[in-house]
Amino acid sequence: MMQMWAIIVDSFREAKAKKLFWVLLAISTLVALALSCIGFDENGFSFFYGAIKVQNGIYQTGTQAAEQFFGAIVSNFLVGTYIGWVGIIICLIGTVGMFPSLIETGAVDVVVSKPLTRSVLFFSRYIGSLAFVLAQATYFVVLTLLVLRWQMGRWLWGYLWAIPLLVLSFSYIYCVCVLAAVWTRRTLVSLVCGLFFWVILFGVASTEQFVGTNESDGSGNVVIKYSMRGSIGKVVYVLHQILPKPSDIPVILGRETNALGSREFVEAIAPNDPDVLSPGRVHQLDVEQLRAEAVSPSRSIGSSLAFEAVVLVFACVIFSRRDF
Amino acid sequence: MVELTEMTNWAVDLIGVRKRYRGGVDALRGVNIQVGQGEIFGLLGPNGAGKTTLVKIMMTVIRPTHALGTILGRPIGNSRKLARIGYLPESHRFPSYLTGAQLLDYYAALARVPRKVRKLRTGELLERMGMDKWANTTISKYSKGMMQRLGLAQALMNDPDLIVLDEPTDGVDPMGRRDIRELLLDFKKQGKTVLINSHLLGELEMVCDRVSILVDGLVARQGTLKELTEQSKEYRVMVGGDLTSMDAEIRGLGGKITTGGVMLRGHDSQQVNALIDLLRQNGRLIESVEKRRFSLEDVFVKAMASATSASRESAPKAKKVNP
Ligand SMILES: Nc1ncnc2c1ncn2[C@@H]1O[C@H](COP(=O)(O)OP(=O)(O)O)[C@@H](O)[C@H]1O
Ligand SMILES: [Mg+2]
Repeated sequence: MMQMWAIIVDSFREAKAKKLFWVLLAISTLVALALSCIGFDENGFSFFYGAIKVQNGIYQTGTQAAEQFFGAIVSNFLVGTYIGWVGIIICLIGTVGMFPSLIETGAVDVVVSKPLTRSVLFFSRYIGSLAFVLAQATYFVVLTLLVLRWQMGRWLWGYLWAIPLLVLSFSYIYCVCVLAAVWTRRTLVSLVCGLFFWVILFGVASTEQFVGTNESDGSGNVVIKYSMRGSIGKVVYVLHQILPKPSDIPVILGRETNALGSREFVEAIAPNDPDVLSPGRVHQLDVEQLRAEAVSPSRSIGSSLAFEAVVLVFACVIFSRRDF
Repeated sequence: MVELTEMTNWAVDLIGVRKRYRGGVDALRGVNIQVGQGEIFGLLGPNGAGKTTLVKIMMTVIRPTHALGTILGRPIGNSRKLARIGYLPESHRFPSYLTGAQLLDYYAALARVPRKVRKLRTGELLERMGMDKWANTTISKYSKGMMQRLGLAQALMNDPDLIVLDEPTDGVDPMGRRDIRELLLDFKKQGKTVLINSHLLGELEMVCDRVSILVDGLVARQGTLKELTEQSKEYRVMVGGDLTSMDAEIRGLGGKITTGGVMLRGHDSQQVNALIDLLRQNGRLIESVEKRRFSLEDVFVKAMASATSASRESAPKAKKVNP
């Protein structure tokens, strides 16, 4: 226990010693500040704390549209973009050196010659890397949560799920970086492998969506049916079941923040605009909604974690058996 | 079983250690090493002999292809015994973001030293190494010599019974080297066992009780310093004047003319006296007679020469035989 704690603390110190750690905190702060600059008053938009005002009939303090506007920011930008991939990339860059530096020639010798098994060393270091991400995610989410509270006048408690979910989706990719790192001992190779893996995951998830067709049943409701026709369709379907699903995370999170309701959002913006709310658009929004509802958090996260566990055990075996 | 392994008196008792690296390099080809309790043992050998490989096997950094034997009475890698060993690796690179004190604390925590003891020893050891002023400076600002002293301090944090040092004087100035030698003798006084690995012979000569000369993955010679250097002697008889006219006769007695005198290999005092008689009969003036022990270096060079010629004969296609 003492040894594990020492390794985790050391990993954290290593991360903290890099400039990147502080750069990330600064970026988070900037995003939160930018968010705080967008607001409403009785007549419309109010930017930069009232310095710039734009008249608007729909977006005003207290209107549903204003509320939905922030909901859209949360779901599209904070969750979809930042937590979905920008934050993950940033955290990957921040942590990808952890294992290569652990097993660097001359540095690894003392550590592996200590009275602790290499698997304990391995998993402690892994947890140490996650601690870095946890710290970054907590800072970002709590800060933006406070800003949203100030803007919307209510606490968006569901948004706190972003902290564990960001760490989770980060770890889906990071495990592959770790595997590459213990294999090759190279930071850059490790990063490239992780990003490549991510691209594959993205490709599989998109293809699977593309293959899944949406149809209307007799009564005009939209239903989603995955067509398993064709060998490619089957392969992609199976791959999607096995591989981690980071793209599900924003969807799950969106549901938790109740910021999803895209159709209601569009209706709220343009209650009577036939161009915005064309039947085709409504159909598409319904399909999106259905797809989101089709994601089962426990199944998605469970299967992803199972894959991650396999990769980590494999990496740990390599780490335990190799010569340094 | 327990009694059997505990019974051995050796601090390190390794039998038949072999290591073939991936790629087929035979770094160790059946090494037997015995280090007695409380002695300073020198592991000698040219670069590439396999010294570091052997030490890394002892410290579980690499896995041997084959190895039997015990360290501190237990099989290699026994966790309880690893906690009793201090280790300074070759060309180490310590995490540069830590301060000296943090590094000592971190490594000692990994060696299961309780927190209170760690605090105490960190202060003690930094002071002993003359680095107490640098305790809270990050390692990135340390000089090479300071890194080495910190490395030694790190190896002592768990108050080890066995200290394994891989090239500890590498890149250390003469003063620092003397400090290290004194430290080693200090350990010996405390009853600790030291295994030191070096290609610098002079240093080992001054402190080691026993040495092992490793050449090409095999132990070429092993024994106490006295055993290794005793029988190999030479005499130098310093004589005035030119000796070239007596060349044939001197050769007949096994001597060799050098500048200012005659050198006689071997340890036969009869031979020396015969030589002196010959010189005196020829009216030469003997200035001095000096009995010279071979230095460790001479033993080393001889061991290397015989090892390479032996491997050339036994295995003509063996790797790394110099033409
Ligand atoms: N990781 C490795 N992979 C392959 N060969 C190695 C490795 N480490 C050392 N060697 C080879 O093993 C031999 C012994 O090396 P080493 O133990 O470092 O010798 P020394 O410490 O006596 O200089 C050398 O020929 C070296 O090239
Ligand atoms: Mg070496």
